[in-house]
Amino acid sequence: MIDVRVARRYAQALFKTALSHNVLAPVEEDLNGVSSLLQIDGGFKRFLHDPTISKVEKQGVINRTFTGKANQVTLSLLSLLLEKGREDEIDEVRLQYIELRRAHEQVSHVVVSSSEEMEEDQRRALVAKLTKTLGRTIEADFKVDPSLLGGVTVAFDNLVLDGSLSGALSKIKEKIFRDTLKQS
Amino acid sequence: MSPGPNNLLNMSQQTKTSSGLPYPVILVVGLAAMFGGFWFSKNVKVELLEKLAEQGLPIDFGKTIAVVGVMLIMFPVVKMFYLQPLADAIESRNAELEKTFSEAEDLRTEMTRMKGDYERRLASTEAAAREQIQKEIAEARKFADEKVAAVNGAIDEMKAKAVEDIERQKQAALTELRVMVTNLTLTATERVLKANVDTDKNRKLIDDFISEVEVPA
Repeated sequence: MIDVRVARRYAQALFKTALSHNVLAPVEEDLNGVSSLLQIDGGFKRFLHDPTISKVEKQGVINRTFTGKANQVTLSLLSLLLEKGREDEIDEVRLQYIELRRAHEQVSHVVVSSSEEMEEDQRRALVAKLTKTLGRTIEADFKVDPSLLGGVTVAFDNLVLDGSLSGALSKIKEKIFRDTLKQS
Repeated sequence: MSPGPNNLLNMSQQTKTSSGLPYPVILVVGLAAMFGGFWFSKNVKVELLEKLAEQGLPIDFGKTIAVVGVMLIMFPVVKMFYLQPLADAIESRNAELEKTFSEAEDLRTEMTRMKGDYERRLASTEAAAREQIQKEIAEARKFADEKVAAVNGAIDEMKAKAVEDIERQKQAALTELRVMVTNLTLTATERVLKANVDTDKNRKLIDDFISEVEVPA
């Protein structure tokens, strides 16, 4: 079971170390790579979670696999997580680390959803507009959500800018229901 | 019809006054009549009486006078030993009767008084009973009126509630119908949009969003 508070503490320690070594971006790339590998490679994931394999053996495999490919700070984190039996927390640590890094760099993370894949020029235009509107640097994740029917939604912090057809329909529906309830 | 106490008293008084002469006079008169009568009977022959005796009707005036004399001599004795006690007894009896009658009269008066009291009490009781009955009737009427009013109120309330419930259910049904129509309309709209929004229209929508997007304060 993933404990967000524990992952947050590991992420804070990792972030401080990476910042002091000036390796924020490489560490994040390493974590993204490990996370992707865990998602793609089921065998690697089972190996890490196999209780019959000793921690020393797991650390040996990790060292052999990532030495020279990943930053030393990242390797230290992975070794520590294996030693503490916190293999499950790797992805959550990555998310918390990214959040800390964004807060440090004052970058706003937005999630842009559209019913179809957005063209590159539209993505750039949207990011530019949001950067200008919010007055902050933007990091955008683009997702496809066919249930939107058309248009786009932008979610950041606790706010959603809804330019989708499904959102428009929902607003119409809500207004009609409210009017209906007022009439009754 | 029995004699009253006043009549008996009068008779006793008459017995007393019949012997107004002093007894010695009466005694002398009696002795004279007795001896004179005997003498007359032995010595005087009356022709008329002899004729009557011969005809079967013997009348002796001398003996009659002698008997009257004896009666006069014996009268005080008779009076002393018979008439006086009789008079006393009669007087006592009269007194007793008077007392009895007086008591009876008192009793009758008492009975009359008691009867009056009883009648008054009866009348009073009847009046109180009538008053109580009227009061109970009034209370019963009041109770019945209150009950009827309460029942009528409850009926009115139930009617009003029923009307209100019907109206509410009607409004709920209408609301449900409107919601259903709205859902159907929006579902149909959604299907139409799915069928009609192509890549170009979607791009147009996104471009419009980018040009119009503003972040609320």
